[in-house]
Amino acid sequence: MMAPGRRVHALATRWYSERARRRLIDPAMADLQAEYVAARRTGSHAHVFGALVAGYLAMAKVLVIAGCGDLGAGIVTWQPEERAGARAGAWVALIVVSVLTALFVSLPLARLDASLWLSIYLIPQALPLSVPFGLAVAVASMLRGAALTRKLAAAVLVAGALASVGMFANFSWLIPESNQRFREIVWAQLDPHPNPSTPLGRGLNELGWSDARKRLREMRARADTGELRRSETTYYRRFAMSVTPMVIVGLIVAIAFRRAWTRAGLTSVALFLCASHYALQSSTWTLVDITIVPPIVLVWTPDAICGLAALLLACGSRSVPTAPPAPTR
Amino acid sequence: MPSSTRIRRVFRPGLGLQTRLARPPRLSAKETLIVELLLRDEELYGLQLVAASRGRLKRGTVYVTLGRMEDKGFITAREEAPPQEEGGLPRRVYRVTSLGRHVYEAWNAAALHLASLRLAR
Repeated sequence: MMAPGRRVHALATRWYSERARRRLIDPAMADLQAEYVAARRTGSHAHVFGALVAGYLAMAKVLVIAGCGDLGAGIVTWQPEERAGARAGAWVALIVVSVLTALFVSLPLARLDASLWLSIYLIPQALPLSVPFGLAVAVASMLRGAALTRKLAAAVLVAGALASVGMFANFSWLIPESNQRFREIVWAQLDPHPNPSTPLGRGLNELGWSDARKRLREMRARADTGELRRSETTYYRRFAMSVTPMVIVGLIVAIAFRRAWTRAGLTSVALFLCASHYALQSSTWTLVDITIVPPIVLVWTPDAICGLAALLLACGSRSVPTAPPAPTR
Repeated sequence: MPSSTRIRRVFRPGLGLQTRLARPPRLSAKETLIVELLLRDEELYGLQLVAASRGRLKRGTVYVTLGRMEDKGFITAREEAPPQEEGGLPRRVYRVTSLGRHVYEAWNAAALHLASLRLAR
């Protein structure tokens, strides 16, 4: 006779620590199996069903508790390789993001012949491009060898999610205000005697979410289809680009676990992915004019492709190495 | 060494250097119940503890309490021989250690002492 709960046990063997399995999961599973055997001896299907339901409910509770315990222990017990990897990754991300942001900011300023302090207003605009690149290179440089662990991968995914939250805040508040301020300063340089009664109007990128929605509603009322599609693209792009860091990081993590990579190999793949994602997202400006596909679909397509690829790769990834279990007393 | 038996030295102004346990052993209500049941029946499985507790211990959380008690050194566990079924797991049987028994007795004595003090007031 086959004991029940073998699939759950196989899952626990793969994902839980040896300590959690021995102390919590295996005894609970043994109870489930013993109750099932006892219920079968009675010959009543209702008894068997009741034993299985009660047993699996208890198992679910145990799995959640054991998972939380492992997560808690995992947060405080980092292996030296993981700590070194995380530190190196943080430095690489900081350096790459700083260099790329400086580069993206200096290019338009060089054309404008503007003062350097004006660059502060362009930094938020450069971050949606520099942060995904920086994170991608950092993840590619750290997730390999002994540092290729589930714990570090989870930490990287959390960092990606936090970067996305930060990016959303950037698109919500920083970019509209800094853009507008930049435009006002540059406009004042071009027109030394501006009319104070007519302030410089805000474009869609310089509006907050609610004002932008209001602007789009007005455009829809005017039935200005061509301009409306471009404006909708601008609007939805802000959402999509907020999610990009998380999606890119997720895809690179999934790729890193796929096979043993060299640092140069994985970094090249990460850079290629970022560049492809950016090219695909930039192409929406052309596609929105020449196709009838809704802008929201066009704008979200690059993120959707990356997210789907990450999920497919993660589902079929090879067995990931785990950090050695913490010593038990 | 269980955390409850670690010793540390503490300097108290006016009292000098004192030797005390790093963490005085404590027994929660559930832990007390488990020790009582194990003292009564010698050795029990988790599910037997749940049944004997008459609903005071829950199936999903009893092993968390038992694991914590193992960490503290109050109980020990051994695994029985695996069952005949394919893929069947061995059950884990628990019993009280001498530390657990002593802590339980001390805990009970302290509770009785406090109760008598309260009555005397």
